[in-house]
Amino acid sequence: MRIRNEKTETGHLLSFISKSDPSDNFSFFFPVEGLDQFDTLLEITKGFEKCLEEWPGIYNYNGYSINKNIEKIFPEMDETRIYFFEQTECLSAELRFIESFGKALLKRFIQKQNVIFPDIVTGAMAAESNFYNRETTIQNMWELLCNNRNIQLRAPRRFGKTSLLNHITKHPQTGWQVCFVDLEGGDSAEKFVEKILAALLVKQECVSFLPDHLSGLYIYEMSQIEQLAILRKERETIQRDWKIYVETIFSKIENQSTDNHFLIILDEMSFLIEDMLSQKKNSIEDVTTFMNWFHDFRSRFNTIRFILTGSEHLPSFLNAYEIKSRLDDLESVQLNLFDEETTEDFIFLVLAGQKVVVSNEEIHVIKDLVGKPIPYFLQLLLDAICEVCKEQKSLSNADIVRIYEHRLLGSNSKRYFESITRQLDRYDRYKPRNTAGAKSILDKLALSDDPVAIEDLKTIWQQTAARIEQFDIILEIMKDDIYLAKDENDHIFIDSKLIKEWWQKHGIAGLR
Amino acid sequence: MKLSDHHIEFIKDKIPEPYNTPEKYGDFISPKIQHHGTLCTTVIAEVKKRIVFPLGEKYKHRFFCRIDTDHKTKDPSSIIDKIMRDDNAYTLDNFTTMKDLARFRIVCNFLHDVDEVSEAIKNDKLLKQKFNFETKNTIEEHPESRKSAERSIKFILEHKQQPGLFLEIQIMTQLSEAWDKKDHFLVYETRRKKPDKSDENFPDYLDAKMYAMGELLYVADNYFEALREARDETIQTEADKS
Repeated sequence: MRIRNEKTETGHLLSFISKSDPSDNFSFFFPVEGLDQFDTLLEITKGFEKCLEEWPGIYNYNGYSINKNIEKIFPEMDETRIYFFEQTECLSAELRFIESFGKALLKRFIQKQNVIFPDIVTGAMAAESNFYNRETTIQNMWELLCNNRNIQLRAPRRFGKTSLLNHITKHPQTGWQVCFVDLEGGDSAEKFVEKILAALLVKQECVSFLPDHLSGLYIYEMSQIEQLAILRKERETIQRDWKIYVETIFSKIENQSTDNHFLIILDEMSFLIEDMLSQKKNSIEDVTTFMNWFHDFRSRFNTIRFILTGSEHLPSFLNAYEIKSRLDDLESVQLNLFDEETTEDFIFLVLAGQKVVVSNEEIHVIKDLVGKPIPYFLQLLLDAICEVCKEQKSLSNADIVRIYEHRLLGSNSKRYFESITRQLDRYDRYKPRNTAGAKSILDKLALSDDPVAIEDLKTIWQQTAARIEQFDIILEIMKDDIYLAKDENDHIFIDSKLIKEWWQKHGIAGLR
Repeated sequence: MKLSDHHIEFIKDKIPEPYNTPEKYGDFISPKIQHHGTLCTTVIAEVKKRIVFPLGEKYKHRFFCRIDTDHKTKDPSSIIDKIMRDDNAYTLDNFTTMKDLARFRIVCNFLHDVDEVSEAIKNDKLLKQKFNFETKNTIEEHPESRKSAERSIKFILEHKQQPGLFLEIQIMTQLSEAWDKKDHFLVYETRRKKPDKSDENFPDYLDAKMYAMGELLYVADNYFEALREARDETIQTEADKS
C-alpha cells in the first residue's frame, strides 16, 4: 500500500463519453512504464469495456496513448474529471481485472454522484455521495410502504440506520412527502407531539398541515430562536390535550394527501420510551397507554405511513419492562451489513479517493482484521490507515496489522467504544445486576474460541446474581448492542472480531 | 474524418445489426482495436524509457527528438474508408491486421538523429525479442520508386505472440513532419472526400508543387546536417587543441 504517484506522464487514458451529451465525459489514467505491462493494460482496457456492458448505450469508450501531458484529447474532454489509478489497483494477484471494482467505479458515474469516491465518515451521518450502496434495502422499504405497510427498521448499533433514513427523507419516491422526526430528548407523549410539530414547522411543504393559526406565518423561513419561541407557545396547547393536537395535524395531512402519500420517520423511538419510563413512578402504565394509543392511531390513516426505529430493538426493550409493545402490525425490515463484495468495493473506492494505492490482497487484510464490516469500525480503520500511509508514504501488511492493534484496540481507542459501554451500563435500569450479568456473558464469549451454549451462559448469568427472567431479554438486546449472534446449533458468539478482541483487551479486567 | 454517403451506405450494408448506423458503427469497430491502443501505449513507454530518454541525456545541450502521439490509433471512419479503398485487401473480418491501426512518430532534429534513433530501435534487445520488424526507409529511396515526397524511416512491428497485431513507428525530421502535416490537410484529406474525382479536389499541378516542397525541405535537412557536422568538427578540433 502506498501513496499514488500522480506525476507520471506516460500512460493510457480510458475515456467514457456520453453518447447523448459528449460534454458529459470522464477518464481514467493508468501510468505505463513499458512493454511488460502490455498484457495487464489490455486486461484493464477490456475489463472496463466488459463492465460497461452492464449499462449499454450510455457511453462511448475510447483508449488513448498519452506521452506527456494529458491535453484536450477530444474536443469536449472534461479535464476536471480525469482520475489517476495504478494498474495494481484494478488487478488481482493473478493479474486478472477485478470486475466488481470496475462496476462499482462506473456505477458512481452512472448514478451521477457528486463525489465519486466516498469520503471517510467516522461517527457522523453518511449523506449524499458518501451514503453507499443501500439501493436494495431502500427499494424494499418503498415497496412495503407503497403496499400500505408501516415499517420497523431494525439493525444493530453503528450499522447506518440514521444515514439510511436521512437518505430516504432527502430522496423520496415520486408521490411521497417525507418528514424525519428525531425523538431523542423526548420524555413524554407531549414531547412526542412537540417533536413531530418541530419537524413539520421547518419544512415549507408541510405548512398546510400545521394548525390554522400557524400555517400562514412562514415559520420555515424564521431563525431557530424564533421557531423555538413558537414551539414554546404551542407547548401549552399540546399539554392541555396532546392527543387532540396531534390528531388534528394528522387529519389535515390525511385529508390533503389524496393524490400523494406522507411518510413520517420516527427515529430514536426507544430513547423516547426509555426516558418516559425514567420520569415517574407510574410510567409503565403511561407507556402502555401511549403504545396502545399509537397502535390505534397509525391504523387510522390511508395515506400516512410510519417508519419506526431506534438504537435498541423496541419490542425486546419494552419486553424488558414487561410492557406490550403493540408493534406487531409493523413490517420488520432488517438493515444488514455490506456483503463481502460490496465491502471490498467500498474499501477500494474509499482508498482510491484518498490517493492510496491498495492491492486486492491488502484489501483482504483490512477486511479480515475488522471482521464483520460494521460501517463505523471499518471507517475508523480506513481513516487510521490513510493517516499513517500519508505520513509514511507506504505501508506493509505488518504495518496495517499494527495500525489495527494500536489505533483501534490501543489504550487511546476507548472513545470509539463508549456507546457500547454506556449501553451496558443502562441495563441496570431494567433490573438490578443486569449490567454485571451482561459483562460476565461477554467475558465468557470473548475468551471462548467457539460459540457458547445458551445454558452455559444462563449459568454464568445466575452466578452473577442477575435475575433469571431477565436473561433472555438482555441476550436479545445484546444482539443489537454488542453484535451477539446465534450459530446453527443455537450457540451464541460475538459476531464482530473487533468487538471480541476489544473486550478481551479492555473489558475483562473490569469490575463485576 | 467525416463519413461520406458512400461510407454510410457501406456501414448500412456490411456492418451487422445493431451497429449498422453512423451513430453505432464505432461500437463495432472500437472494441476490436483496443489491443492496438494498449500496445501503442506500452511501446511508447518502453521507447521513451530505453531510447529517447538516454539519447536525450546524451544530447542534452540541444533538442534531439520528441515522441509525437497524435492520431495513435486509426479512428473508425478511417478504418471504414481504408476497407472500402484497398481493393478487398481488408474486410470487416480482418481489418485488425492493418499495419497502421496503431502508430506513433518520433520527430528528430537532424537527419543524423533519425539514424541514431532508428539504429537504437532496430538493435533494442527487448523490442527484438517481442516483435518481428519490417523496415521502410523512404529517406534515401530512389526517385523511380518514390510514390510520395514523404521521407521517413518506418518500422512495422508485429507482435510475435499475437501475429497480425501490428504497430508502426515513424521516425522523421521536423521538416519532414512539417511537410507531412501540410500534405495531410491539403492533399490527403481533400482527395479522400471524393476519391474518384481527385483532380477536382486537388489538381495535379498543385500536387506537383507539394512534391517539390518535400524535396526542397529534404535539401534543407541535408544542408542543416552539413552545418551540424561542421559545427561538431570545429568544436572537436578546438577541444583537441586545448
